[in-house]
Amino acid sequence: MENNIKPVATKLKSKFSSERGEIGDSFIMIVAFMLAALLMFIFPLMTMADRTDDVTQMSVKTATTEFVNKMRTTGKITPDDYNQFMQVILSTGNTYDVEIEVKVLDENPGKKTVQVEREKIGENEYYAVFTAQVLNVIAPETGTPQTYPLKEGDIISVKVKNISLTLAQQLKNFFYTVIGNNTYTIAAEDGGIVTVTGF
Amino acid sequence: MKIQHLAIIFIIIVLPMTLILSSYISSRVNTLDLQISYDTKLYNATYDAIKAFQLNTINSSTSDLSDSKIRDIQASVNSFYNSLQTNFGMNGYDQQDLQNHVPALVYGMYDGYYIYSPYHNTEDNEKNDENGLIFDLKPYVYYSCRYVSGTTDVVITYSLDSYVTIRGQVGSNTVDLKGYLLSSADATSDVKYRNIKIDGENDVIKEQIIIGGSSGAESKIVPCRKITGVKYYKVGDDYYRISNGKLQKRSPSSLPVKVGEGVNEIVNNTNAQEYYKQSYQLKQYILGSALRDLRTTDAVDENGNHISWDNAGYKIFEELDNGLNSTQIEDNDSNFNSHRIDVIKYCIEKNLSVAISNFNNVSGSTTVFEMPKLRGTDWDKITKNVSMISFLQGLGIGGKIYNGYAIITNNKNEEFVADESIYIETADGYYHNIKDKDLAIVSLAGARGYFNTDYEKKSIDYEIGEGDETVVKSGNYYPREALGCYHSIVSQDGMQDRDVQDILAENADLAKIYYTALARERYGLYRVENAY
Repeated sequence: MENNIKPVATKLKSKFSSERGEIGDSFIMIVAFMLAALLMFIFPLMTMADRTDDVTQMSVKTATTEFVNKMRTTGKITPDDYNQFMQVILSTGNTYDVEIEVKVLDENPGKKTVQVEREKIGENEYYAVFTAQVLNVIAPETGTPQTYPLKEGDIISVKVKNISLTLAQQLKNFFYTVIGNNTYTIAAEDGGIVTVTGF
Repeated sequence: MKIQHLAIIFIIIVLPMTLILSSYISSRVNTLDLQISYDTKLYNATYDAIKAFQLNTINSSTSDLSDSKIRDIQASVNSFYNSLQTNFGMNGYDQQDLQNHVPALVYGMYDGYYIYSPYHNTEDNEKNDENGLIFDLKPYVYYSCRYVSGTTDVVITYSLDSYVTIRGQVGSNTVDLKGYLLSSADATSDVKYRNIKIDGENDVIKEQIIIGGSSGAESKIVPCRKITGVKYYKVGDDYYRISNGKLQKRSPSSLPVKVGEGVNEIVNNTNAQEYYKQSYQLKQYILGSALRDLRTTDAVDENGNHISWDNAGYKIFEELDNGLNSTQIEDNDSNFNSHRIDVIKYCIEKNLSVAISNFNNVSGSTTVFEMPKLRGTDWDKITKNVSMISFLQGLGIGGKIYNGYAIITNNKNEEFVADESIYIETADGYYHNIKDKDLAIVSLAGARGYFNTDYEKKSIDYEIGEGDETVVKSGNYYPREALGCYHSIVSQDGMQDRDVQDILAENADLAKIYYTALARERYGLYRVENAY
């Protein structure tokens, strides 16, 4: 009786052991496929998406600097220049939030007193005009767009950041979920003093 | 071959490509970043330089004179290099390095330009460096062109507005003419411009100055007149002028009597009338001589070869005879103005390209220096304003060589009076831009036009105390006390987007104020050729 039981037990043991090996192989295969997919597709895709963001960043930065330099050296913000700038940054496939701030120099406070002795400095004041007020002139919802004139001594600054998610952001969100919806990866900022009064 | 092997081969191929591409893109981004940052630094340094020139000219009554102007420009050049060095200091460049990468600096003035670049000074060898070179301003070059037609052989010098000088032979006559070309100037009986009578200004042009005394300093508003670039003041019975930043008393006999007969000319300002009279006389001479038929195609270069222009050939002074309904010679859209721009471009391009290419022989850099092609908008700036053009070439920016230029203009200086440089001061104590919409509403009674630099802060040295206790102090003052209008000067949100002439055509009172002020200020400028 004992002699009959032993071979059956050995047989069953070897059968169970073989099935466990097949399950283990399949698991490794799945993991290998996932790793391969990650390495072959996801990693290059993420890298390229990151590089695309770099190129976009460069393009937006260049456009912003050129836009600001043009305003500084001509002393005006023209609808044409603004539209051209928007066209360049929107051609990158993203949407952006553009903030324009003009710090208007007011020399009147300093003029109200004659300085018989040269002891006082810094009486000039600046007041700020923001995006909505500037856009109301150069790109109004109704009416004809007009040139926004600046004068020598004013300070102009432009800030641009993306408000739509880029592919790199979407992939990172999917895999790590470390980037919220309100963060941005493409941002450019430039500004400076206006060098000439535009008429 | 197992699928894992394929994956490994794929990774071996793709991974290096991805890394190389990513590194290449990063380097391109850095290059462009550097290029943008260098552009901005060059703009800033050029602005600093022209601002230095502006401040020096506004605060110097002798800034029009040749030595003084050269001094101001040399100071401006120093500001440029100081600013550039400060900006580039972080990148490891010092002034010497940078000088080897700045082939030329161009200062566009009223009727000519200076180029700052290295040259061999053959007159004074001691000033040259060990290579026999000196970095300095080259002689002033006028915006001039020679015209030969029949018995007419003249050189015409143009300027940033319609002021010309004509020198040479017209038939058997030797001519030396100068003045503003204005189609509608008339001085047959009353002095008129565009059918508007221009009156003299007796005891109305007054300015503020600071006068020192034994008990202290005080500011006073006194009659003032600008003659050949210098302002003269009448304080009580005494006459003064500001020289080298100091108020100096002048004897009545030393005052310029060129304009009128006596010292009362300081109070009775007839600059505006004289301006139109001079212009009318010039117009009459040109229209009555062979100059009338002079064509743009008669222009010749230094070898006597005809110069070809982009614009079609036409008579240069033809529009001088136009009525008010046709284009005036001084208008922006006139043929004369197109030719003026062509001549200025020709003059600058010719000398500048030579200066930059010569820089290859003196620069220690291996870069080939070439003059970049300036755009139409650049020329538009240069031919309308006092300007500065700076070139910076040959700096390595990672895989590329930087080759940039910056053009900065300035429309607030003592060099010339542009159409937009006249502000209208109204009786309520505010001054307005000529394009201000408010000027169609506010009362123009008592309003008068003034030059924009009169509203800028100026400095002066004055003496207080008596005898041995006299001390010299410095003070700041504004020649005109009025405040800037908040709609056209401070914020400029009340400006009309129209041509000045269109605005004036609708408002005769404003036109009279404006044309009088423009003429007064232009006539008061220093305009003697060969003084540079």
